[in-house]
Amino acid sequence: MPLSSNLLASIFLHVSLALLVGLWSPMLNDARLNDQSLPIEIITIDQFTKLVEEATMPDEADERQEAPAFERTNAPSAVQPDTMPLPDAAPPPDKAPTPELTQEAVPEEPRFRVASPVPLARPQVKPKPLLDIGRVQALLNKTPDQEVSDSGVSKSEAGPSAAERLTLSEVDAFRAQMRRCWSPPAGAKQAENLIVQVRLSLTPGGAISAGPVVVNRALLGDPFFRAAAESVLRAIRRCQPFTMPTEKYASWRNIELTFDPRKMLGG
Amino acid sequence: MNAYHPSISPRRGLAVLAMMFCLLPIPALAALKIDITQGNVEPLPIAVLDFDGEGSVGQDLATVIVADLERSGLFRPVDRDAFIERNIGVNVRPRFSDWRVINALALVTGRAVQHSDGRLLVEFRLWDVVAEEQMAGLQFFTTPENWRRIAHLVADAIYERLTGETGYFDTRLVYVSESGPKNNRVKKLAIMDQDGFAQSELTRGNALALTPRFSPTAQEITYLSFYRNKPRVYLLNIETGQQEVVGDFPGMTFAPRFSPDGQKIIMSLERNGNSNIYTMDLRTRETRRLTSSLAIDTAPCYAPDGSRIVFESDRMGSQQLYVMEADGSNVQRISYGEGRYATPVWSPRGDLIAFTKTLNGRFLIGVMRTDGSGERILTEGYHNEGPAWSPNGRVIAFFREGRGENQGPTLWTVDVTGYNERPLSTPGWASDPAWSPLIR
Repeated sequence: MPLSSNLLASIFLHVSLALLVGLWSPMLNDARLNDQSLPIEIITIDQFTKLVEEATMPDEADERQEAPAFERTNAPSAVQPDTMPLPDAAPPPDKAPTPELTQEAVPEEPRFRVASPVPLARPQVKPKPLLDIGRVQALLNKTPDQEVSDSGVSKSEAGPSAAERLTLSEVDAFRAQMRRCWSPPAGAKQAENLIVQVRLSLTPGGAISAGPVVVNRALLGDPFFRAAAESVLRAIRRCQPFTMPTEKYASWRNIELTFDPRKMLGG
Repeated sequence: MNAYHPSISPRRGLAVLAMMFCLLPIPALAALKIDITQGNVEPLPIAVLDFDGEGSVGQDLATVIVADLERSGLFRPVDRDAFIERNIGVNVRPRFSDWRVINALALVTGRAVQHSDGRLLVEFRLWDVVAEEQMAGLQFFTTPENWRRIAHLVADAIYERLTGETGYFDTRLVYVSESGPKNNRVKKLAIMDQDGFAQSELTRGNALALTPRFSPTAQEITYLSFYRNKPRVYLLNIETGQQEVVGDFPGMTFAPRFSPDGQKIIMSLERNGNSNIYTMDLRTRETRRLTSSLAIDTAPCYAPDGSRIVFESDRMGSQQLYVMEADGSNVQRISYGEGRYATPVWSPRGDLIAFTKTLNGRFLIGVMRTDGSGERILTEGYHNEGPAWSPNGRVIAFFREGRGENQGPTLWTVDVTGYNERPLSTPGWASDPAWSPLIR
């Protein structure tokens, strides 16, 4: 009986492990859409409605109507009696149209769902869940662990043999491809500080299979950073597929890119 | 599940699971790390569809929006002829693949409809073509004649969303309109929209009008005019046409500018050959002297937070730039390059100071950080002068004068990167531009 109990325990664990890996991954990918694809703000219908409510506050609209920016009167302007003679003033130009201007968010009419085009890879900063699927996958992942060398290119200790590692010229080829797609935020305030880190996974063909996801997402509240990050995401997406040596797929399947405009914009 | 495995308690199962994962030191997904330090600064390709609407208003709106975005140098509007999908309602999700094919990264769709009360409703959506998501959607109401302003507001919203920076299209420029021969120029103040439309004159031209400067908080300017051949600082309300002299000083006053809160005027007062910097509170009329040197201290300009002031002075021999506290203390020289430096203007963004530099008989416009480091020349030529910042600190307007007898000044703009230099069209000669804050 104890034997069969252990056997049962083992079967139970294995079956649940398989279920977790097999079924949870896609579910988690879906779930991640909401909380991890943030680089581009998704305005939901609820938020839209809220925006409409905020933007149509009658006070604001009325104030704009009362203080039109272009409005002029043709009444002669009063001159301050106690000052010196004034230089000539032309009659005010023709009355400009009253800019009775209100601004509102577009109503909630279009009821399509906005979805991210690809499932997103796991950012590093995510709080640890009870059961970390990434770790389970890593258990099954035969790709050896890697670490970063001084040159900014990963190398692995136990893992890919020298033959599997990307050579510097292969990395440079990747950089050259990326360079054509990325437009650094020149002219933005302190553009040299807008360093964007993203993670993504690639298929053996060099197309994006997961991500890209911004790693240093804490900065996304800053509109400059958000714009810079979005521009990086656009660059990566339109740059794919990347030309990479297929035989070394294991070493570039997951990539973390740091877009650093300091050298270009003079930090 | 426990029903099938009565001998394993849920707690024990979890504990075993937890142990399994704790004991194996597994890193997060291993990733190849690559730094990308080089890119290609190029304008963002954007497609702006003609807005749906009766008559020409939809196309007119799109034309103004496209022109605004294009002038900024940060966007490259995609040619309309290339569009595959042409009639997308504002409430329809575009076929993004059609836009990727023509290399558009962003797409603007919109609609303009006349309401029963006569007002024009303009709405638009900005789409990220690559991520296939909406980035912005807004709606505006206005009188139909006012459609140009709406176009500028839409362009501002697009610019803002895609760059992170406040827009500057819904703004105006005041400048000195010049006519007549070079030795007897008539100089009037004129005003126009930022894109050169809606030109009109503010003064008649009987007296010279010079160096207009906008209030950062109101549609009001301060400028220099002459009374009995003596320069004087004036205030002019653009909305009402009302004018007044600022202060009753014994000497001549010039080089006026507003404080960032619009409550004070800072200017130079000249007496006996030397000039010093003064402020005057516009409500209390109280004046205050900030510098007292035997040199010429002039062209003062506040930092946007009001804490410091940059000005030019020849106190150490040649004309250089200095920064001091708002109370006049702690004067520090910041310009150390070759040549003479003049007319410093603090960026509304706070990060840079624009200036005119004279070097080897040429007048250059440049920027430096507020501590004087990182000097960059943005434009050079025979005569460039009078830098004025756009309210978002991204563009500098200035004027350029030709060399010949029949030449006159013209207005130009240049981006802080120095790569996007454009002429601003005016009906006649034009100098000394001043940029308004956002009109809203």
